[in-house]
Amino acid sequence: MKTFKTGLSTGVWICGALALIQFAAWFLAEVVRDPLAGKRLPYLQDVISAFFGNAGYLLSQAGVTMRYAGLGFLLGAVVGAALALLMRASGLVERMILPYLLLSQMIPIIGLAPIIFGLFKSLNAARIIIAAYITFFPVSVSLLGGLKSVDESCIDLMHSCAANAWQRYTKLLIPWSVPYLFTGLKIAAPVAVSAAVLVDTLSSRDGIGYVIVLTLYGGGTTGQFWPALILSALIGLGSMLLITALEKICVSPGMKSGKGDE
Amino acid sequence: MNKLQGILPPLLFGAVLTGLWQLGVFNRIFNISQLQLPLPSKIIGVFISHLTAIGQNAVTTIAPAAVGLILGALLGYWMALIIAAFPQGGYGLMILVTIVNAIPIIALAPLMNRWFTVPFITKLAVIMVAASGSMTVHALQGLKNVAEEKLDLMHSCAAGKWEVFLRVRIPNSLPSVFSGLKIGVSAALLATIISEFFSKETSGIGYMIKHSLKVGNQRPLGWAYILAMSLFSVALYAVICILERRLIRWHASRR
Amino acid sequence: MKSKIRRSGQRKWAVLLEALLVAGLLAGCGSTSQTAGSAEGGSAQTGEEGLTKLTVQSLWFAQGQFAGLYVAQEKGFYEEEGLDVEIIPGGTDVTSEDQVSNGIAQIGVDFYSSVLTYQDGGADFINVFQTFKNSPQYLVAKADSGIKTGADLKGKKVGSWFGGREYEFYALAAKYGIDYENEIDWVQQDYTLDQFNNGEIDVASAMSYNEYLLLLDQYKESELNVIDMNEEGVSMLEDCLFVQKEWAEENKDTLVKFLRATIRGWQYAADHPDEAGQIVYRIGESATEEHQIAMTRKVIETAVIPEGSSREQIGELDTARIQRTIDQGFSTGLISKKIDIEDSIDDSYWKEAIAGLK
Repeated sequence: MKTFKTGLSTGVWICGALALIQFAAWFLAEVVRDPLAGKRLPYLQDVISAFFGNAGYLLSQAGVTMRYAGLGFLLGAVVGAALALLMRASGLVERMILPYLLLSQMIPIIGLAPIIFGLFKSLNAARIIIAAYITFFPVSVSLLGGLKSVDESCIDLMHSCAANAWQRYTKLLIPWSVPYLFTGLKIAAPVAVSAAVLVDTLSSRDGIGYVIVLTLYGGGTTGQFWPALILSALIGLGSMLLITALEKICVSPGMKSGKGDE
Repeated sequence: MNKLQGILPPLLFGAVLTGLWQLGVFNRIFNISQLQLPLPSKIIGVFISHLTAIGQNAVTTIAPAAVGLILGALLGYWMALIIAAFPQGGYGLMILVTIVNAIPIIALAPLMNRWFTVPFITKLAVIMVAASGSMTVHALQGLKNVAEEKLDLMHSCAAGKWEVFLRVRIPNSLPSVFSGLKIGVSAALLATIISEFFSKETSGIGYMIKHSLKVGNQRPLGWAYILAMSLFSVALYAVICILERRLIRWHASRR
Repeated sequence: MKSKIRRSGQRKWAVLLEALLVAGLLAGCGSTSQTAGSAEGGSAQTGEEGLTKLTVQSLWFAQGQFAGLYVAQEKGFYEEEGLDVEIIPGGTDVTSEDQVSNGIAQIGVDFYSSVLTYQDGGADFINVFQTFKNSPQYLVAKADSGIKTGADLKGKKVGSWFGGREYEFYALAAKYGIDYENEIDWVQQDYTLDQFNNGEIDVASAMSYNEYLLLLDQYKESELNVIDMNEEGVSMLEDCLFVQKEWAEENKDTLVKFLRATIRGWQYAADHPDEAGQIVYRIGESATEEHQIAMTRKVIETAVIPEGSSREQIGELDTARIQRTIDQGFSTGLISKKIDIEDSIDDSYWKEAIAGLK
């Protein structure tokens, strides 16, 4: 019953948004008579026909991006989680490196790319590393937030039971923080996809980002821009739904939310 | 003394990193020339000699970044409230928010350029989208992840849904809001830089980074602008941390 | 209450750990196969059938601008010289110079004016093949705007791609005594012509072989005013092939063979522009086939073999033109010193390549 209701709700929202887009597209083209109407907001049927005209090509490019985004995401998530644990274990380490983790995110890909290319000498490795580089930060910050939000009284209790550090982490801190970890993962997943799309544009010949840039700047074949954009957004959504599904498996309902969720 | 302990470790760590970088250790490890990664002395030298220009360009960038971060965070929180208040009806909204947020910035920025003609508005739109996403996800988690005994207590007092929201859920979401803001800072500033790559304007930190890094002998200037953006991000981050300390001193995570 | 939470969380945590482990293993496998795959496309090595592997970093997507390279590749000219050449397309955020100095590519394509800035910064690049003999960069205005020469740019909204592309315009403005920093309203132009079409800019940057051709699809020639950098005498040399000096000295034969096959590629493209355009379109799928054919024709007739030069001069490093680019780069502030021409170009490879063709 619940899934039916959420499904219905999703359907209503999506249809509402689509109707709004369709109306806006009509308004731009017919009422405002904007010469760039098709470039600003196209009719849905145009996007759909552009997609089915090149479905095989677009999907295979999407597959390429998904592969690199997925690998980069896993790498970034592992590194991010490790950093968060390290920072929780030592306040000194946290104070030392947290500001620099933030700084690391300020170096734009254009400045970073030559360094990563130089290090790995391979476009495909660089694609994974850059996706990981952008993923690790939200995972680290979210998980650290979780690790630090544990009720002090519980930790005191553990101390009074003479629990060692390993026990404290595996029995209290980590299980408590799992929902926070998932929050970070949920944010990071679409970002990893977005990063992989960005890296597609660097110097590759495939990937959905390549299609976007090619249709934006390659001249002519602009029709594929919209399906490519929507496809990349859908990959991002899919990645988040996947994490949400994983979360449902890994986190018990009692932990995740209060009764208000029912 | 306490303050010193807070500031000293990052400063020392930064000094060690900068020292190693200055000695060319990074260039050797990464096997890249100083043209690709200039030494800190060079970057800081250029930063100082171009201080006025950097200041002027920063104005173009900081205004939309700060406004976009605030508006985006508010928008994100507002959507989290709707979704939390109506879990089933709001679920579809959550999906929509995710879709919009999943549009890559390199596609969103040129699209916003087509939609709006004023560069400030164009940038603002991109930054708001980038900043709202992490806020929605975080705030939602804070609104929902409430200790059961608090809820039980409220129920035993026969409190209604809205009272639970006002007294338990919203206060409980504050720490998450700050996590969302912290990630939002990096997302918003990255969005600012990329949207300036595509902007019509020929000023701004993002514009200067892009074009200076492409011209071989202007690389150090590009890195000076990256430094400027980093300083700005740290300042924003510090403001958020200070606010966090003031506002949720009582919360477990800050005790 | 708490203990209940903890226990159930613990079991779930184990599940998560397992999932992560499996995922990590998968990632490990995935990335090792990945690196193995990319190693094949790595630096200059002798691969299968004794062919020497070479990687060229192009400047942009496969298009008529680079027809000679793609024709030499597709028609087997490189293979006949014993080379296995891979051409990597350029991107928005990556420079050929970086790719070459990182060793991802051995040979780079970029504007000579851009290579100069890296030489100025201390890189040991050397220009070995000047593909374009002039500047194909136009400034285009609508005829009814009355903008005809550089003198009319004052106070106008002028679009440029920047990133080093703007220095010809700075020289143009300086020629007419315009303070280009304050008296021209510069606009960052994207790679479409929308801003020009909807009047957001008065003057647009357009490559004679690309954007200008696209404009001619929409406007009559009489509806457009063109400011030609060559006619204004402010042109700087564009597309060239550059390598690292040390690499060139160590791989002299390979480089000469590569240049020879590239010259043959351009000659073939000049004789069969339609086929060359089709080849480029098939590889890059950029724009349309007609546009690629038109671009190939235009590039060859205006820049690669312009009037007054011959097929035997493709890629020739004309010292007078090179020197003019250096001088102008210095006077507009693009480079900080007058680089010695001997340190900037080396035409011995080209000379040997062209000699082998006769």
